[in-house]
Amino acid sequence: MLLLQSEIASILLNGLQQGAIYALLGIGLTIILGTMEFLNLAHGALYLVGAYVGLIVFQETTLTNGFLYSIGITSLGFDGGFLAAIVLVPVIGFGIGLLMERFVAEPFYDRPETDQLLVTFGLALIVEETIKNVIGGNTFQSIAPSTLFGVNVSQPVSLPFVGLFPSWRLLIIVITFFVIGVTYLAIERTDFGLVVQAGTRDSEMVRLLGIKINRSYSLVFALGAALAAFAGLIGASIQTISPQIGTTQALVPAFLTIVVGGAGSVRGAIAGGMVLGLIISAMTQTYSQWAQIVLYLFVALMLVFRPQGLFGTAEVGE
Amino acid sequence: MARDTTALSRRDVLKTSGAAGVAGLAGLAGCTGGGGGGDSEYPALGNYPVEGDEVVFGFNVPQSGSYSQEGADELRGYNLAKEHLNNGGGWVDSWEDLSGDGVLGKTVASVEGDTATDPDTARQSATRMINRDNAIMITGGSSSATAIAMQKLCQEEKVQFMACLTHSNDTTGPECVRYSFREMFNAYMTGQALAPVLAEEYGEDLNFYQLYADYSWGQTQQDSMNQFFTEVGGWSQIESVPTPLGTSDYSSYLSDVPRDETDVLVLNHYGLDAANSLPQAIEAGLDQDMEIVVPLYNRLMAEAAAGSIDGIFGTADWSWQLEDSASQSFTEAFRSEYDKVPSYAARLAYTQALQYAAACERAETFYPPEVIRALEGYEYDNAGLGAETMRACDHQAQRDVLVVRGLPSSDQTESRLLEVVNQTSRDQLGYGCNEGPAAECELGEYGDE
Amino acid sequence: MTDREVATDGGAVAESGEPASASGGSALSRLRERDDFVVVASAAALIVFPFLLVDVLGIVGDVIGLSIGGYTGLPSLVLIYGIIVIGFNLLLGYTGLLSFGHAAFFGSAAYSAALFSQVVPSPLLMVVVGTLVATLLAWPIGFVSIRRSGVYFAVLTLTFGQALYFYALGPGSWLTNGDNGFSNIEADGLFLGALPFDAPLTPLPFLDSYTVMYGFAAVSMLVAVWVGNRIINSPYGLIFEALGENEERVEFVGLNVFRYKLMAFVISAVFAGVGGALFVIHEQYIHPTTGLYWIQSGDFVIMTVLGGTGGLVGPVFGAFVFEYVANVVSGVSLPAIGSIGSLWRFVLGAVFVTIVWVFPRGIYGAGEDLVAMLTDRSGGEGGGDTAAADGGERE
Repeated sequence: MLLLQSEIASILLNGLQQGAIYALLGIGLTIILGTMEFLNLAHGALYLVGAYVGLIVFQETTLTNGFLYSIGITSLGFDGGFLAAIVLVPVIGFGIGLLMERFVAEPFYDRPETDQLLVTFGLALIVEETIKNVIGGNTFQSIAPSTLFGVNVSQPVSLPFVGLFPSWRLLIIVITFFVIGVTYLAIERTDFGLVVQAGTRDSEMVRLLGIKINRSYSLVFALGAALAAFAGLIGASIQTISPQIGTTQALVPAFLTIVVGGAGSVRGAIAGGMVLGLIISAMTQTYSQWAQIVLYLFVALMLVFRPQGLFGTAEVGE
Repeated sequence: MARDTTALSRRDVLKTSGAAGVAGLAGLAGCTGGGGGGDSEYPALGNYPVEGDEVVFGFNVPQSGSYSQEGADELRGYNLAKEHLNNGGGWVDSWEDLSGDGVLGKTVASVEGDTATDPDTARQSATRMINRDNAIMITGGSSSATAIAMQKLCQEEKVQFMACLTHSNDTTGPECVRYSFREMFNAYMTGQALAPVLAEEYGEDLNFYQLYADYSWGQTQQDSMNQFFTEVGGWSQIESVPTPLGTSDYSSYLSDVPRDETDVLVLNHYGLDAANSLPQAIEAGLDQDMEIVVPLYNRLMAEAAAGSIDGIFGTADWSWQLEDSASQSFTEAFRSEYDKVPSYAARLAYTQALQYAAACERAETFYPPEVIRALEGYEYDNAGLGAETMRACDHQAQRDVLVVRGLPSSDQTESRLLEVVNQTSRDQLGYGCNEGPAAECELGEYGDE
Repeated sequence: MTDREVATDGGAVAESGEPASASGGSALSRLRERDDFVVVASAAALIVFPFLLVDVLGIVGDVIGLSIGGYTGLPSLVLIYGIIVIGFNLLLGYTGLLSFGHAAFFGSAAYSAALFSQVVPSPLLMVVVGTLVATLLAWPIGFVSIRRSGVYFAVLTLTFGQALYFYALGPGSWLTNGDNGFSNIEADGLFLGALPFDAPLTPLPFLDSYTVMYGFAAVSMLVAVWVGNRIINSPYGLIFEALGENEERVEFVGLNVFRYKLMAFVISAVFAGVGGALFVIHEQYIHPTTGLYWIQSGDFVIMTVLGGTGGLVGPVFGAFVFEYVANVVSGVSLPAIGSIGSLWRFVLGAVFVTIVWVFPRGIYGAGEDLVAMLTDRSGGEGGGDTAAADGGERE
């Protein structure tokens, strides 16, 4: 099949947009894994929480079932708009990350990684079911704003080569890459980042050097959680929101991303996210029936032939 | 240590097995004693004969998972039907077969189950209702996969199944069974109902482009759309693209739609899939270059995509806005019970439960083969959609179909998101027993051959 | 089939497992006694199980007014999942490898057995073919996956399962009937259908929960218990256990770690394959979501951990609790709260976290500990050998 120039351009744009969300998820997961050697299957639940916090902050939503509805609360939300959500969602995610590190992760640092996987797996189930039973099991509309800073973002814009492209998605690409870039710089250029870097390379050495490891641990975990929650907000702005999205849209892609990129590597997570996003977008525009199959087989081949991933170095996560 | 526990449990077993033994013997006596109620001119089959003074219906709907909201409304319809069957009210008052005093002198009781919109979960739940709770009839289903899974089970177990929400051609096509009846219309009829309305609205000789969910419902749906758009409007299909089940981001598929050539875009996605694909199509500005059609509406999807449905055509099973007396009396009864208007899932549930009860009364027995015969070819006009026939050859109701259109956000209210454009008469719909999906249907045994 | 598979494995052990078996010379004869004991005890449990689950709980339910009784068909289902998790536990509980892809073996066995039934409608041969396919699939998947560990292993196993799932649902529909589910299974009884699976085993009416299918599943379960017990108590089992505790030590002793891990992987897939074939015989139906989706693999993990890794009985107990809660408790309607319905998964999550956190040895292990504590006898006697297998040393 011959691909037109315009098709290649739209594959790239769609791939970047999807890949950026994967990358956000992947960075969060990979710094937690790299620094603390903690495997967090509740990462998808953080995405889910981010989406719902975003929904509640963004607008006032009518409830039709669930616990809140049953006690007479028929609407929920602050009608704060998207900018408020962009600020609040990562902050709340950060807070949840601090709590989670303290009360869930810490007791499990010295236990087998299988136990870590299992306890966070159960935790994810609890979060999902709590949201379902409290806020309701129904599906809410995506929360894209129609204007941002007075600029209309609900209309598509015309781009060279691509043609019309949703302006909101274009904006998402800009926002997510900005966040990814800031995170990357924070890890590469600051003292805090040094700990993360050192931790992902050799966590025992960091411990031996006597760096105030516990506090850094909390911060790393919280940063990862904030990124996942932010990814949830971005996802919620383009797709419907329901209690299942943490499991179906975030958890598995996050893990695929980090193993493709190389567990523990921030650069790897970014690259991994982009690669997966591009594969999905290229396949869906050509042989859509095989998109998912090819995606999984690609990851499998990657793991078999390049187990360290694109940028992985150490045996993190083994 | 181990010895202690076994001793303990052995005692327990002895104690309880004594009790159960008595119950078992009583059961044996019941069996040989010829059953109760004088309703035993037929041999035992499935859960027939019905013992005691209660008859149990099994309501198997999604209570967890993405479609739990829809399941909750189905359950409201079922419970209302149970209430009316036992105590009168609603359609029961005007339905000559029904007394309002139970069914065949027995009080209607019910058991509920959760399908989680998962075929295997649905089957386990139905198995429990059949084997433990002795349900004489199972009803439910909120996807074609679960409905087909349950009706296959019911055929094996010789227990009646009344399909609720299932729109795939296959349910009364290649996967049809003797023990299941469908009140809802199917993808084929959607194509037939939509094509003339759209040809009139948008003109003839247009080009259309389809996306379809890549499973049985989506495949049959896009087939039917292609067939009838081509036949009726003289339209021609540019391409029909499968989207894997569970896709939530359709932007890649949508950016492949040729804006210059396409006049009409058909999104063959159901429920929550459509709640993503439709807003994403609008976000991409496709509505400015072409018309968009969503073949099947449901309340779930209309709510989850409320901001994007303005002017979008589709079909629906029924609407509480219909003005005939049956629709109005059901809506009234439902509203006074639950303080909200019924969705069409609730109407299907209510209708199916009453249909079964009425068939038992006509057959004067719960014996499944006789009940099935009482339903086959049955003609009725009291289900809110004018005259209907439950066709004998494939157990597909021959009925009217509503063509609906989404309202602009400003005109929407909580209970009114869609307007009825046309009630396409059943005379313009359907297909012969040797055509379309029905040609592939072999119903199987009654169980008394 | 299962027997032969394991018999050949046993042979391999005898050759290469010399160092490990050296320490257990006299212990082996004691284990043999235990071997018989385990089978006899299991048989006894299997004989009363449906009666307790269906009839006794049913009567209790009638008395207290809650429908908590089991139903005919549930006992067989529990046994089928029990067989699968006995094998899964060899991998997770002993070798310490967490697979999120065992649905691939379960599902491929189920589909191949179902398809095969259209050629030869023999349940026994269906089990053989299903297991064979699962085994043949497990070998290459294991071969490439075993080289990775931790998250890489989990993700790698997941990817194969998911690829199969999406194939069965989409492009492979011509073979699997896709989302409509596969129900044209041509074997509904033993002896060419002469003994239908849903017929009662005995003419006694109060034993009607004992169906032919249950008999079939129970015999399979006994074989699985026997084989599982043999493996656990063989030098092989000791090596598996050692691998889970400290891989380097095993390597240091000079054993081929890769080989033993692969064995554990394939053996667990054999159990999953038997379970898959039995499942399709029992249900007469299979759907991609049930057979191949990763959530199914996750359920195997939940069952195993819930009951308790390490022992033989724990995971089976976990399968029982899981299926009972999913299929019976979820339908219970409580007086004040109403239908439990969707709440059951919340309860499951909470119980699961508690178990992993507080009782790493699972419900069964916790029960054992409790009994040991109450009877105030040395815990080393009854629970000791299973405790060593697992969490005991983790903390």
